[in-house]
Amino acid sequence: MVLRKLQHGIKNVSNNAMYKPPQWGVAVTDEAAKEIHKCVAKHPRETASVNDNLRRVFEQLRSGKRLASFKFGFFRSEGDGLYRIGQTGVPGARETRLYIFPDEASSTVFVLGMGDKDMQQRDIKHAKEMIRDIRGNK
Amino acid sequence: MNTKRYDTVDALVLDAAGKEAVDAMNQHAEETRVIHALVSIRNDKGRSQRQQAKEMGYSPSKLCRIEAGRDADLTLGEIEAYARALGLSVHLSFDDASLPAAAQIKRHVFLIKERLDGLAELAAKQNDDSKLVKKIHEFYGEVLINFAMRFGDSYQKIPPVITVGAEPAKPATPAPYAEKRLAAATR
Repeated sequence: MVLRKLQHGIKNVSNNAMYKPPQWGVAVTDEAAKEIHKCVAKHPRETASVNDNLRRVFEQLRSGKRLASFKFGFFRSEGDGLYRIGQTGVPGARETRLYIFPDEASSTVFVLGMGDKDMQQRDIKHAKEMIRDIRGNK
Repeated sequence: MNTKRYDTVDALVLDAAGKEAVDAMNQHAEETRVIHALVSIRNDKGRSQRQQAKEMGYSPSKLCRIEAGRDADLTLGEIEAYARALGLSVHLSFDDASLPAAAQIKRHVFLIKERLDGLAELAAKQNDDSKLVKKIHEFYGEVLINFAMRFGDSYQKIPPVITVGAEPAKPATPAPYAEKRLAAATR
């Protein structure tokens, strides 16, 4: 009796149960990898924080959530597909930003650079050029 | 532009900056676990920071400071206010880390059964709402499938048991009835 009832439940199971979200990966440019390495040495607490926040964004994407639904305070759009991840949980921190391009077409989060508030405009301009390159190579 | 792809952020950070950087990242996660859990629920419910602040009766900047802070700076009152504004209740439980993993898993299984029993009671109370009962049936099916998938996924990670030099298992002595059927089948 129990098995029959469960079979009814399983037959009518919603699509969500079998839904497999896309397998997102994370990619880093050579330049960004060097910047992360440098930032870890200069600002270890801030870098640990932005790296952890990157991991949180990545886990959300991996669980099938869409970018448009993200309402995290540390996650901001800079336009043209570029997003900025800031730090949290670091009192008296020096503002550190990680720039990413979550590309839904390839299910890849491209990590494009890391920097501080002073270099923000330069970093954003450079990151957007890289996004154009990535899109142009498809 | 050269890029290198990884399956996880941990692998990327390890490669770019070494094990210490990964440890520091995990340390940060540990220090902001409660805040992140609350923010994730707010996010899942599609609520913005501004809306959450309004529900709590806080200024947006105060809420921003809380969400950008550390667990150690949170008060129990702030946790309760945040949870209440999301329609959640707060339950405190204390995990005994000295308990073996199996005992901890059993505890969680019993908790899940309690919740499922609550859902079954809700279904039993429905007189006219067969739609709700149907949805609960479907949900039970989903729980079973999702659990089975995750159980299987985890089980795959256990190394196989390899026994060296064991005696081959002796065939079981068939029951008398089975013996007769076997004899009939092989005639």
